[in-house]
Amino acid sequence: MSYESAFQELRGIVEELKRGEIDIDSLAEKVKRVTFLCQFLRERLRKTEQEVQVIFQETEKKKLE
Amino acid sequence: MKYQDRYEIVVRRKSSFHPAYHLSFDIQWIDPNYSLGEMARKRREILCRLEEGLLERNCQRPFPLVPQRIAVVSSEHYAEWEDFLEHLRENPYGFSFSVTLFPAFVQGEEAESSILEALQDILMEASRFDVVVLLRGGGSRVDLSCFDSYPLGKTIAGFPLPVLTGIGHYKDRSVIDYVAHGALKTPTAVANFLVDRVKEFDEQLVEQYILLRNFIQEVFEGYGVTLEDWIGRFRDCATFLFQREKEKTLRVEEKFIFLGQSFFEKQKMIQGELERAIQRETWKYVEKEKSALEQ
Repeated sequence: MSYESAFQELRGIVEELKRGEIDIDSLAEKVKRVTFLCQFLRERLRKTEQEVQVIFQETEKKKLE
Repeated sequence: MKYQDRYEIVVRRKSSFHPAYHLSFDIQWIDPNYSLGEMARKRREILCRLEEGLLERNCQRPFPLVPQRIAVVSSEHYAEWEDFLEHLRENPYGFSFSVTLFPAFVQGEEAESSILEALQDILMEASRFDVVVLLRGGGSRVDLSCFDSYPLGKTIAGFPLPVLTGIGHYKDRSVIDYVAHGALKTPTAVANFLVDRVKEFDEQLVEQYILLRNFIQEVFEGYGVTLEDWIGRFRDCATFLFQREKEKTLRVEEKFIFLGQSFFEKQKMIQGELERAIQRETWKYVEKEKSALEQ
């Protein structure tokens, strides 16, 4: 799953909820799904940012050498 | 000032005739200003011939962003060539330069043809170089006269690579200084100029790098903010919907309790009425029995 598709899914669920056409059983399902999406998105964002930071640090180290 | 062949000169002379030695011709004084004026005239003439759009041509070539591959035309015996090399190699920033020497005479009769030959050699492998540098140590003005040459001026002006000169002039600019991309006073000045250009590029790189780094940082921050924003919206929507369902259930419950209560009330009322009716009837019956007994 890509960050973009996961994020679009999260937005879709929020829009659906806003329209209010949802029963209590599927609401529980949606909460479960969004919790998963949140974890995935936050983790992916954090990891990518770390990777980029490492690249920057390596570049700067090379420059100093 | 060194005089060479074919220089026009103005002299003050003393002629005398001696019966034994015939005519004698003593040069007492040479007018240096005449010779310098003659050189200036020659230079102006060449520059005029070059005028037709040629003068600016080399200047108009874009100067390479990173001039690191350098073709040098110079005499390998000059200390200036070594100075030039040393200056490039020992630049404080640790930039590396690749320098190739194309040996040539840079003064005297053979200078013009040997410089032209060296330039021809460079032209054959022009793609290997970023810039051409013509070097010579300082000298008197007349010494530099070999650089006031039409063929040299024309070749340098039309050269496909930018040409820098460092031929040690102090007051006058020779023809090739006019047509070259840049004219610097000494070989060391040329070396410094090249190091400065590379330094400028390096600084631009660092600047761009910092901009890129900041931009990427902002992109990540933006993603983070947007993500948390949507998660917040979801939480609000879900909380609202749960609350709504809860209230719905609560209302049903209340209605049920209310209905139950009213049922009991009604039953109670009916029961009360019944009790009172029974009491009434019982009383009536007792009264009736009582009166029957009294009769």
